[in-house]
Amino acid sequence: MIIDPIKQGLASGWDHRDGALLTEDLTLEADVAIIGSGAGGGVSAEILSQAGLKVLIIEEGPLKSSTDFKMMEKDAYPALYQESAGRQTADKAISIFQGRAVGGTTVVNWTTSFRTPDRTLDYWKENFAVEGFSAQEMLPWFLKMEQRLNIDTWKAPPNENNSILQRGLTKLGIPSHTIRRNVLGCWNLGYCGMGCPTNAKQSMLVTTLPAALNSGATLISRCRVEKIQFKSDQVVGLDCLALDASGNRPSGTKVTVKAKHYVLAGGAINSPALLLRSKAADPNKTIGARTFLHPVNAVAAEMPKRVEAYSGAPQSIYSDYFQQQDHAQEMGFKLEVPPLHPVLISIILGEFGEHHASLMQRYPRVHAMIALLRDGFHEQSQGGQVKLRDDGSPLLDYPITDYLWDGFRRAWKSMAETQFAAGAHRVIPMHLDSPVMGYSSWQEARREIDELPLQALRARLLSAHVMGGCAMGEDPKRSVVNSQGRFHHADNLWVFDGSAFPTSISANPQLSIYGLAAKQASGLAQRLTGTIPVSQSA
Amino acid sequence: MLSRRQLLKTGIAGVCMLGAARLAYGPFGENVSAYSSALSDQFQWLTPQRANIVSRFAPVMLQGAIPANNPARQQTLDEVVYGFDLAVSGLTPAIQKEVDQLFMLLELAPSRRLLFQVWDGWDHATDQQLADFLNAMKNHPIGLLQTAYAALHKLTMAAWYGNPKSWERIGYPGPPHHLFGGVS
Ligand SMILES: Cc1cc2nc3c(=O)[nH]c(=O)nc-3n(C[C@H](O)[C@H](O)[C@H](O)COP(=O)(O)OP(=O)(O)OC[C@H]3O[C@@H](n4cnc5c(N)ncnc54)[C@H](O)[C@@H]3O)c2cc1C
Repeated sequence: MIIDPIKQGLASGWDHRDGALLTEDLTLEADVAIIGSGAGGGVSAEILSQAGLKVLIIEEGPLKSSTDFKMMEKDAYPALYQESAGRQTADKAISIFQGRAVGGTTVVNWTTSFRTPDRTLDYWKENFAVEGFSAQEMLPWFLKMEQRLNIDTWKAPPNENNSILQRGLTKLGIPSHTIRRNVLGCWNLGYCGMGCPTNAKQSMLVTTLPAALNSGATLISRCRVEKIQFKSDQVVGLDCLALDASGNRPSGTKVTVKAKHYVLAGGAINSPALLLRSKAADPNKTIGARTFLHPVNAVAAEMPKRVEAYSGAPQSIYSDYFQQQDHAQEMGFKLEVPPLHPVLISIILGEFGEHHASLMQRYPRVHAMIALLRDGFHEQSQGGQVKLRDDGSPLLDYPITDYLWDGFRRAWKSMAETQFAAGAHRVIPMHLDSPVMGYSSWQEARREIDELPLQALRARLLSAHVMGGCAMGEDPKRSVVNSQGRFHHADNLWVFDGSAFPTSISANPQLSIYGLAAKQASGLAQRLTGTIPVSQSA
Repeated sequence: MLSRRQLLKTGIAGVCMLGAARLAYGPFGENVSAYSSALSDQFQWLTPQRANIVSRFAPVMLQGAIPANNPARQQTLDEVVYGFDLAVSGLTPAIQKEVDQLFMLLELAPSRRLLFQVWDGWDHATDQQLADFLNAMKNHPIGLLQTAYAALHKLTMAAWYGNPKSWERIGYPGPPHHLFGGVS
C-alpha cells in the first residue's frame, strides 16, 4: 500500500477548498496570495508560510494525488495538462506541454534537474541588467533546493532508451553525462509524465505544498484568477472564477481575494496572459514578449533489439556537446531522450493507415531522441508574444526564424548520426515529408535531411519548457519585473516563476525556477516580517 | 484526385465559400446519416451526424491497427468514436470551437465537394476516396487544411491508442499495475 500524503493531510485538517464544490460566492483574505501552485508557487508558499505569513494559494487545476495516478495517458492528459495537452502555438506549428493541477507542471515533469548554466546568468547580467543572479550569488539557493527536493545523480543504470543515446555518442567520441533527478525511493517505472504513483518524485505536490498547508496556508483548487484589480500603483484584489467539475468552464460562482501582497506564479504563457487580461500597465509593451519554448525536434529510430522506451526513469543521460561551443552564429542544442507512451508516439508519427499501423507494431523497438534548442540568445531568436483570444484565454505567437530552422536541421542530422552509430536499422526524422519508413544509412539520412522543407506544420515540433514573458531586469523598457521580481508598475505584485527569465535557460528549467523562487520569496518574507526566514538556513 | 494546382485553387475558393455556405445552409448542413451505438447516449460533444463522420474516417485512419472483421471491428470502432468524443469534451471552449469549425467544413455540402471532391456525402465515399482525401488534406498547400488533418489525426489516434485494447497489437504491456496489486 502506498501512503497518500495528500489524503492524510486533508484528513489532518488542511484548509483546502475545491472551487468546483462551492455553492456560494466567497471572499478570502491573506497576507500573501499566490496565483498558481507549480514550481514557483510551491516554493514561495512554503517559504512565506513558514515565515509566519498567512498564505493563500489559488490554483486553476484540480487537487489530484498518488491514489488518482493510474499511469494512463487517456486520464492524465485531460486531468493534469493545460488544454488537455493540446496547447499549440498560434500557427499550430509547435505543440506545448504544460501542467495544470495542484503542484503545477512539477506533477507531470520528468525530474531532470540542472542548475542555471553560468553563461546564461552572465548573459542576463550583461544584456538585461539583472542584478543578484551571478553564479556565486545563486549557488546557495540551488544548494538549498537540491537538498530540499533530494536532487541527486541517478544511480541506477540508464534504461535502454537512454543507453542508446550514450552508446551512440561514445561511438562518435562525443561526451555525455548522467542526469540528476529529484526523487526519493524511485521505483524506476517510467510514468513521471502521468503523475508519480509512488510519491517518489519530489514534486511540489508532496514537498513544499504539504509543508505550507501544515503551516496554516489555505489552498483553493479549480479556481481561476481571471483579473488582477489595480488601483494606481497597488493591487487591491483578485477576481476569481470557480470552475465546474470538468475543470474547463466557470461554474458561475465567484471568489474574491484580498491580500497585502500578491505573487504571480501561473507559469510562462499564463502569468503574462493574466497581466494582459487585467490591463496591467505596459507602457513599453514588454508583457508576454520574449516568451521562449526551448523548442524541440525529434528523430525516431528502429533498433535491432527491444528498447521499451516506456519503461524506466525517462531521462538519465544528456549531452551538452552541441551547445558548449560558442555558437554566436549557430543555434546550439541539448540532446536528451523522451519516454514513449502509446498516445504520444501515435500522435507524433504523422502518417495514418497501414503505414502508421506498421510503425506502431515496432513500438517496443522504437528509440527516440530530442534536441532542445537554446532560444533567446541571438538577434534572430527573440521568442514569441503572448496574446489573448476573444474569450481571454492565452495564445502564443512564436515565429520560427531561419536561424531556428537551421538549428533544427543540424539537430536532425546529429540525432540521426548518433542513432546509426548506436546500431539503428532505420531512422525517421519527425517530419511529414521524410519517407514513411525513414532512412537506412547515415549517408542517406545526411543527404536527404538536407532536402527536407523547413516549413511550419511539416516538421513535428514540441515544447515542454516554456519560459519568459515577464522578463526581469532593472530597465523597465526591456523588462516586466525588477531583479527582486517586483512588477515595475505596482508595489505589491511579484512574479516568482519561469516567466521571469529573460531568455530560455538552455537547460531543463525546474531547478532554475526553484532557485529563483527560493531567492525571491525569501527576499519578500524578509521584507514583510523584518527577519531572515528560518527556512533560509542554506 | 485533383492536381496540386487545382487543389490550391479550389482550396482557396472553398475556404472563402465557407462563410457563404454557412449562411445558405444554416447551422445544420444537409442530411447526414445519424450514427448510434451502445455508447452514443453518453456523448457529450458529438452529434449523431458528426459521430457518423468520425465513424467513416476512423477505420481509414486506423487501417491495419484495428480488427479486420466484425463483430470485433464494429465494437472497436464504437469505442474509438466514444474516445473521440471524450477527447474533444476535455478540450477548452476555445479549442472546441475550432474543432466545431472543422466539422462544419466537413459537414457542409459545398465545402465538402469543392475542397474534398466528395460529392454524395461521406456515407457513399469509399475507403480509398477517404484515404485520398486524408492524404490531400495532409499535404494541402493551405495550412488550414493541414491543421484540419492534424486535428482529425490526433483525436482519432488518441481515442484508439489510449484504449488498452490497442496495446496487444503493438506489444505494449501496459502500465505495471501488477506492482500495485492490480488497478482499482
Ligand atoms: C511533460 C513535461 C516534462 C517536463 N520535464 C522536466 C524535467 O524533467 N526537468 C525540468 O527541469 N523541467 C521539466 N519540465 C518543465 C518544468 O516542470 C516547468 O518548467 C516548471 O514546472 C514551470 O514552473 P512554473 O512555476 O513556472 O509553472 P508551473 O509549474 O506550470 O505552474 C503554474 C501553475 O499555475 C496555474 N495557473 C496558471 N494560471 C492560473 C490562473 N490564472 N489562476 C489560477 N492558477 C493558474 C497552472 O494551472 C499551474 O498549475 C517538464 C514539463 C513537462 C510538461
